[in-house]
Amino acid sequence: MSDGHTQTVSGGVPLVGTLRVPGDKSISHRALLLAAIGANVMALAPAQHDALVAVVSHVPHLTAATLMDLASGLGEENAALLQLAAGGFRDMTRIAAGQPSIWPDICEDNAEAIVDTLDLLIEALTGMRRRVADHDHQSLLEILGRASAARRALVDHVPRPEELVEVRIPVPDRTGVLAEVTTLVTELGVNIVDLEIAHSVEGDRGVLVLVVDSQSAPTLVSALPQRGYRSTSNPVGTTR
Amino acid sequence: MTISRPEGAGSRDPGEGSTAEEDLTAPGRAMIFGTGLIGGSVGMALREQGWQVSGVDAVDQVAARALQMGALSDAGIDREADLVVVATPVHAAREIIVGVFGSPEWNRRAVVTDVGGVKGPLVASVDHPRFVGGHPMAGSEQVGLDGASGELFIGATWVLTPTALTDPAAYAKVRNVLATIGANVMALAPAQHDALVAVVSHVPHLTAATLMDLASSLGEENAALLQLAAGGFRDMTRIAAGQPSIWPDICEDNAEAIVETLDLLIDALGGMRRRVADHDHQSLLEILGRASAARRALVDHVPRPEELVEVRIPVPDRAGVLAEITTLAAELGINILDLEIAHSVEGDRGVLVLVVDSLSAPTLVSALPQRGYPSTSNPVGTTR
Repeated sequence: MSDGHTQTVSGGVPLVGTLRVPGDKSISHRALLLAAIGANVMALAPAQHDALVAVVSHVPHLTAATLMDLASGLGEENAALLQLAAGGFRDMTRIAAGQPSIWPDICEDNAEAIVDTLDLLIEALTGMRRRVADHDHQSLLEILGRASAARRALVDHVPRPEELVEVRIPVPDRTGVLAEVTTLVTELGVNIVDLEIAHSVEGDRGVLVLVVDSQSAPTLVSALPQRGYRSTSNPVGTTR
Repeated sequence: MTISRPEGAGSRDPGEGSTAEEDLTAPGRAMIFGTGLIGGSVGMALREQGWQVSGVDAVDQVAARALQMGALSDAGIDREADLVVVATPVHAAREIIVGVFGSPEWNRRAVVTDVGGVKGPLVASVDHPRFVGGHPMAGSEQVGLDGASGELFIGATWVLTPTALTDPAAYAKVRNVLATIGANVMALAPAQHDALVAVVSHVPHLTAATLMDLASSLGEENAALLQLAAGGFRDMTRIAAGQPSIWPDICEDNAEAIVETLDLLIDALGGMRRRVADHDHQSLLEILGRASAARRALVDHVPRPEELVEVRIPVPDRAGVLAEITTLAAELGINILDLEIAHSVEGDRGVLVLVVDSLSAPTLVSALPQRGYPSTSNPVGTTR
């Protein structure tokens, strides 16, 4: 991804590329290559990508490092402190062990989004502090319950073949179509499991084939006409 | 400094001319109040050691499931038990403990411990020689009995909070039983425990929940957000999946330390924000490098048997000595791997035997005289 940024491939997490689309074919070939090495491919506009990774990657890293540094400083006064660090603390600070030298560049390039997100986090932590200081148990329970539910919803899910649906979208064979469709798919929270472009013999139209999980398919199929795309869908493996 | 004794010098210290101690780790009868994640795991671990384990839970079905899962040998209250483990939420524990000590129907020698995450208020309000406050630093993001395992405590740090009032025999009993189920026991003063767990447990939990909640609400605007959440984010927020209901009690009892620590964290994050906004790369690299080194140093060190040293400390046979010495060891960062109390026949002096790893032994041996305790030490396994 020459114009993009890649995240480490790990089970179920999308490999992210930002698409500035000079020619759809090469992009589709990259997507196919990435899918072939087991990545889930997701398309995002560059600015959106940067805002989102500030939340799920950059600020978490800076927070883990801050917490680790704080505990380590306090641990100098009392050696028992770090011996009490159990799985939760270890999980939370694990990413802080990473290579520090990559971060100045990242913080330079994404400073605005990181600062915005740090402001949100500091504000939210200040709210948490107020709840504890005021013994506001009701509000504490609410936010912890909400976070617990959200975290439990965040499970790795690799769909089985019988859960997959093939969505076929006839598209004009022109620049920008692939980016538009894949960005729409991402905004809808739909994961593209596989992607293929079948060109028609006449050369001016083609069919974009997206494989998505069966629960997401109806969302996608109903959103496409609003952007001017018709589509048909079939469970994967059924005879057409 | 390791003082070796002449080989074959048959008898031990004079004051130690000693007694057949009750075997402190022999399986007995345990009673567990609260058979959730921790109570259920304690039950499983004790049963693997041959204990007879009874237990109850505020929810009858939970105790029934614990019985079914093998965490209990009986569902119900065993007043003959010699070890009582109270594994209920923090605020329910006090009444149960006071009830056990207040009722003549309970075994008069029963030692009682608990597993609550905050120690100061509870320990102060129970105030009994046979109560030893405890807190295992182990858990699981899984909720309740489903996360229970007899192996949950292997290698886990388990804090005990003896006070000047604590009966040394009661402390030694709890300590040694916990050691048999794999825990590394560490003694801390109750207030000190509370200040430290605010840093390594309570504030991290609140921070994980805050981060998860923030990402989740931003994710409502853009469904792609949580799909980008990779291993780092997942690691950081894992504990936020835990049971929310235990936290109001913890935040109530440890409010002061939690608020102080949150202030430090908010302040430090403000500093981080300033570094990013000011493009202060030098300072960013410094703090991230420091954190990276500290995190990499946070590895488990399990000493090999040949690295163990036995430190023998003649002590007056009175309350408070044990708490003082075990707490001193924790302050020095020294892990006590085994502990034994040998009483003298005369009954007014005894010898406290601590087994520590050989790297820590000199630190302990040189710190003890400042507190008025001379000691001797030997590598474990050498003939005396």
